[in-house]
Amino acid sequence: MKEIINRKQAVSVLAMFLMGTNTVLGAGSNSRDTWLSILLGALFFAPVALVYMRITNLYPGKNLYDIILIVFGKITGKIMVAIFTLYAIHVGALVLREFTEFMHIAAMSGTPQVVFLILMLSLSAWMVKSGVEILGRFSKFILPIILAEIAITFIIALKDMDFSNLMPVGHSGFGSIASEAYSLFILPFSEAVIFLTLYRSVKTDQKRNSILVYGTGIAVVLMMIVIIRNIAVLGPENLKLLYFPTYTTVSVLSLGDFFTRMEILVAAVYLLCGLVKASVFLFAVSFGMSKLFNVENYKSMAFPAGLIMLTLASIIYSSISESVEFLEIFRYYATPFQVILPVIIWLGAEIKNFLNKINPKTPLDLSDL
Amino acid sequence: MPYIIICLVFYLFVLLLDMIPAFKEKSIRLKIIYTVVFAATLSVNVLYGLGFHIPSPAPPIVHLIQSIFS
Repeated sequence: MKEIINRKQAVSVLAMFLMGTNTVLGAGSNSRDTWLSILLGALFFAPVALVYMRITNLYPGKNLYDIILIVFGKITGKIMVAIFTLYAIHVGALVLREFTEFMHIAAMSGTPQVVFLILMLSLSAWMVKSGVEILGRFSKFILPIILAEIAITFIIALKDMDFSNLMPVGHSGFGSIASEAYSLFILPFSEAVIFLTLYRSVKTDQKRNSILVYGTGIAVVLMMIVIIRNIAVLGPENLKLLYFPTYTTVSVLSLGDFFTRMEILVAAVYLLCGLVKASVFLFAVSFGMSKLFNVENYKSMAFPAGLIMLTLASIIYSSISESVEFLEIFRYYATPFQVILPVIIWLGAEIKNFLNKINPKTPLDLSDL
Repeated sequence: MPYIIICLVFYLFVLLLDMIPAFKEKSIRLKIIYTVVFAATLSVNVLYGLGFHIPSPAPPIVHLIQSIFS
């Protein structure tokens, strides 16, 4: 049975996927000009998003791996599929580890971290085995709750906000803002390349281009609201000292004397976004492994992929300071996978499309690959 | 030790609830892949739980990137 998600569900998945870690970690360096960097990062992402849209429009009904195999053939295509799959395994493991670090540090420090990894992974694997439709419906149901949480905490925070913390605008200097914008362009916006692995499930008769636009737009707006709230309440100097700035910001908010310690809302939102983000990466890895090993049903690969991600998440670094060190170079590490390879795929797809128009052939049967 | 026990329990659940039903499919390829991944990841997790140093891919990547861009 073909799995189909509509445009609204796809937008919800993408928005929650991009929001991911930013609901708790904040964005970038959490400085007073980070909100400017978010806007600039989104601007940097615009041409890359056009590349992603063009790739999917050239081959509607196909996901990224299908397109790679069509464009580059069996051998080169499988090498590229393997590269993307390994990238998805690595980043998916990082995502899993980040979320479980938060739970371990902020909430249940006595519980072994592997318990959170296993629970998160089991839910993600269940999501994969249930299919993309379940992910779409889940995201569409949860996104309004996340919007409400961010709106409510922002309104409650208004009385504690000092907007002079955001002044002067541009104080960090254009170089610093642009550098941070590039980091935000890579993480999280360009991670949308992983979302392209789900594109074959998106209805082809709807405006598919608007998925990236609306999904990114929602994520940008929510990130800006969160970062402005955090900076205005705690100030940029305090935010830089914190591992989980949003969590701390919301913990100091109160409504009257009885409605306090609302950081549980942040934790819940973080986990929900984290589940969607981990599930999308697990989908990508399952699709990739099924293509590489010619397994017909990608759902069979859910738990094998999950076991690999679980193992990597456990060993990938021994402390949160090592993860911070990796995050500092992540923008260089991820650029080939999120920018360079998609551009190569796009150019290859355009050339193949052009050659097919000149010399029409019978459609390639993917079962031969 | 708790790490190993928790992992073993989880792997037992995976074996009973997913791996054995998956083996009922006729695909030999799936059986081989699943068995290899199951055994390899279980081995790594047990060794990690016993305190053996399992090399992470992150430090070599960090050193490579820093050597290129520093």
